[in-house]
Amino acid sequence: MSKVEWYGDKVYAEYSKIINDRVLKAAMMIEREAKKSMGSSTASIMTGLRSGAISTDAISKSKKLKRGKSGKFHVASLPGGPPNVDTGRLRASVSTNHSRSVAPRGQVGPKANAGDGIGKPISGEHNFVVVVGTNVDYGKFLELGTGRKARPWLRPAFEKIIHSAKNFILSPVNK
Amino acid sequence: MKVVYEAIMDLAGADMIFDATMTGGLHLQQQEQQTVNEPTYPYATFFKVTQVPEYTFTELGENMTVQFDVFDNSSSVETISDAAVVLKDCFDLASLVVDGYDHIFMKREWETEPMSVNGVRQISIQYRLTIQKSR
Repeated sequence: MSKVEWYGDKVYAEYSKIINDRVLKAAMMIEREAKKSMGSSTASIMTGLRSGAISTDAISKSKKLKRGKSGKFHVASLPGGPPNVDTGRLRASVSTNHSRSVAPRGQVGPKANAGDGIGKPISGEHNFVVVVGTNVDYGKFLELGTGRKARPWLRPAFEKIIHSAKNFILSPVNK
Repeated sequence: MKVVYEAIMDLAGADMIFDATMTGGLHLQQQEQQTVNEPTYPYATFFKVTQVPEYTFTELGENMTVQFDVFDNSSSVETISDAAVVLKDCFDLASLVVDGYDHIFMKREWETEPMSVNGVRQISIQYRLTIQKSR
């Protein structure tokens, strides 16, 4: 008499682990893209990408260039595009966290303040939830605008990555 | 995407209720600088957040997200809430008619709670525009 053994639970657990790993990697791709999109203020000055070329000699003479919070000269990015980095706090604070993480907050870079970073999302027993973002206040104001023109940095990164991320998550599992 | 912006402005312009409620008007990116007077509230602005091309075997399309913002400075949250409702009535599931495009469809994705910055309240509403170009 032949015997049938059921490995459904084991397969489900294995498959869930692989998919969850992929979802987390996709979220990290979005995080990386968001950080990468934030331009360097210095690069903007040197290349004149923002609003016409500005020579380095002109930097100290120009009244339009203001020092940012970091004390360095800061050139705001073009409205509608991602913000230029001044102190680096926002960029360092952009983080990823997931519902099965043991860490209460996503890992943040050295320039972020204590307490920055995304908290652990809550999910049901079988759901795996991933979040990407920041808890730095002005991140929201840059993303959505406040009467001044917005400088979205998270949504463009999401839209840029999501198509390839979906393909990556749903690609066949070779096990 | 000038044609799309124009179609959005035309749609709002043709809506009498929108016109009457949004006394400060609808503006691309930002309301014009007022040299003397304060801006007229409530008013709305819109801008393109993202635009990603989408290719299928038979279609050439664009996947575009547009954010509308409604601003108001009155002490009551009622005015801005009413203005947001009127904006949604105007643009929810709207089809834009533009030469060179077969189909432009607007779908609302989310909106924020009113947030206040320097005494001016703001509600942000995001729409996704599915755009199919004529071939």
